[in-house]
Amino acid sequence: MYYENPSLRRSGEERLIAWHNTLLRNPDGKITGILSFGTDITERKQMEHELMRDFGRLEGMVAERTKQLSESEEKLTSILESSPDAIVVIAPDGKINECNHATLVLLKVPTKEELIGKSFLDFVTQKDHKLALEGMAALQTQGYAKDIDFTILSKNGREVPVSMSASYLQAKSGKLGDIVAIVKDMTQHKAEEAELKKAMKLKEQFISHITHELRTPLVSIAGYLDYIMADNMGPVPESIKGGLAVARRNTERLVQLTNDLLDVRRIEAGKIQLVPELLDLREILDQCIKEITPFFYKKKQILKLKIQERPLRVQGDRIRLNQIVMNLLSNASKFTPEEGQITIQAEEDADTITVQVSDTGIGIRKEDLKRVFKPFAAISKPSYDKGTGLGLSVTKGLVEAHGGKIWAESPGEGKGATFIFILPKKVRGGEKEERGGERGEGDR
Amino acid sequence: MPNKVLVVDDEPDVLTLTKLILEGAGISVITASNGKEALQKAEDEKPNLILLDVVMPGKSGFEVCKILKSQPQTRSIPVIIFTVLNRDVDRTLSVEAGADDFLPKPLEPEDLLLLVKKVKAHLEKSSYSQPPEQLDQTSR
Repeated sequence: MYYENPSLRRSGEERLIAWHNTLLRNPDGKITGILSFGTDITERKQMEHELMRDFGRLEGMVAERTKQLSESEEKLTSILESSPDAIVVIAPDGKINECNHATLVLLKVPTKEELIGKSFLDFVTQKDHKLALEGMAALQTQGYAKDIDFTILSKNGREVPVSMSASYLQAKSGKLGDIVAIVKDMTQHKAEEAELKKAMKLKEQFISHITHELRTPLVSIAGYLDYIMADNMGPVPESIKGGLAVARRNTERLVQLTNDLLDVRRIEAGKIQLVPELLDLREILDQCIKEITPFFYKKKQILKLKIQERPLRVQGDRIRLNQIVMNLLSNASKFTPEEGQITIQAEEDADTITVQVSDTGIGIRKEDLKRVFKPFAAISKPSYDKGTGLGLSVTKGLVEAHGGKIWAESPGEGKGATFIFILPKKVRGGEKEERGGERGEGDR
Repeated sequence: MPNKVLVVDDEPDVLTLTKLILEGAGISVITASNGKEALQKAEDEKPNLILLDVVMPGKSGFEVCKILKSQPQTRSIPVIIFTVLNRDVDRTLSVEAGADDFLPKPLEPEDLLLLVKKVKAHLEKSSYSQPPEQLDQTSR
C-alpha cells in the first residue's frame, strides 16, 4: 500500500512524505503488525511540478515557432509567386523541380503539375539550345550566369525573347546541384530597343541630311566670296572688301556650326576616328596662338604664355588637338571683355600633359561648371551667347577620344574661368591601331 | 599636259564656281549635272580626270565611280570624289568605290588652292602615260 501525505515538522515546515506500508503476519497468517517506510519526497515533487510546467511552456513555444515557420514559408511563397519574372528550379538533369506563377504565364501552361518533371530545354527554341547550354556551362565554371539571351517557345507556339540569370540553389536542405533560374520576358524591352535604334538612326540620317543641305549653299557662298576676294574676278576696291570680309566671317560661323553638328553626331555615335602621331604640343599651341592673335588684338586682350621650354611630346591627332586648343582660346576671347587677359599654361609630368586656358572674363557659376560641356548649353542661358552651343561639347568629346579629361574651374560670375585638360602622353595601344587602321587611305 | 577635267555636280552654282576656279588656273573643264550624263561624257569626251560629287539625284557619286572603274574604256581615268560632307565614312566609301582621291568642296579659303593643286597633280601624273585605254597596266 502506497500513499503520500503531508506532515508537519516540529519547526512547523510542511513536508510531503511517501508511505509504503506492509502488513506483517505470523506463519499462521495472522496479522501481527504494520511495517511502514516513510520517504520525504518534497523536493522530488517540486521538481516534478517544475518539469511539468517547463514542458508545457516548451510545447507552447514549439507551437508558436511552427506557426512562425509556416507564416515565413507563406511569405516566401507569396514573394516568389508575385514576382513578375519566371523563377524556375531546375534539377541537374535539366528537369523542372519547382516554379512560380509567372513561369506558367510565360510558358502559357495552365498548372504547375504540367511543368514539374519536364525538361527545361524543351521550352527553349531549337535554334537557341546552344545559347542556353552555353549559359549553363558558364554557370558551372563561374558559379553564376547572367543575362543569357535566348528565345522561349511557349506552349501556344509563340516565341518569346527572354533574358535569364541563374545560380545554384543555396538552401542547406536543398539538393546539391539544383539551379535556380530567373527568366525575364524581354518582349517589351526588345520592342523599345528597336524603336530607340530606329529613332537614333533617323536622327543620324536627319543630321547628315541637314548638314549636307546647309553646306551645299555654303559652298557657293564661301567659295564665291573667297574667289572674288582674291581678285579673281577683277580687282576689288578696299571699300568693298571690308563688306565682303564681314559676309565671309559670318559664312565661316555657319560652316563652323555644320562642322560641330557633324562632330557631335560622330562623338555621340562613338565614331570619332583619330589619326594619332607623335608630336610636340608646343607646335600646335604656337599655330593656334598665331591663328587667334587677330581676335585678341581686336579686343585689346593680353595673352600671357607659360609654356615649358622643353618639347611637350604627346601622341595625338594633330587636327583634333588643334581644334581643342582653338575652341578653348576662342571661347576665352569671346567671354572676356576688352583689355582682359588670357593665359595659356602647358606643362608635363611623367605620363601626362596638362594645358590650362585661363581668362579674366565673365566666369561661370558653380552650378554651370559641368553643364557648359553639354550640347547647346548656351541656348538656355542668353548671357553665354554667340556660340554654336556645341563647341565645348565637341571639345570634351575630342579630349576624351584621346583618353584625356577636361573640366572647368571658376571662382564665380564675373571672376574669370579656367579650362584645364589633361592628355595621356600615349594613346592606349590597341585603340590606336584599330583607329588608325580603320580609316583606309586617309589624306588629311 | 592633258588637261581636260570633267566636273560632275547637280548644283549649277557649285558647277559654275568649280569651272571658274579651274579655268582660272588654265585647266579646261567640261561639266555634267547627274550620273547618267557623267557616264556618257566620260566615254565620249575621254577626260583626263573626273571630279565627282556624291549626293546627286539618281545615281550617287559612289555608284557612278564604281561603274566608271568597272568599264575598260573608263577604268583608267582618275576619279576624285568631291564632297561637301568630308566625313570619315565618305573617305572609306570613296576607297571602296575605287576612287583615286578625295577632296572637300571649297568651304575654307585654303580649299580653293587645294582644289587647283590636287587637280593639277593628278593631271600631271596622267600626262606621263599613254592614252586611257592602255593606261591601266602602267599606272595602277
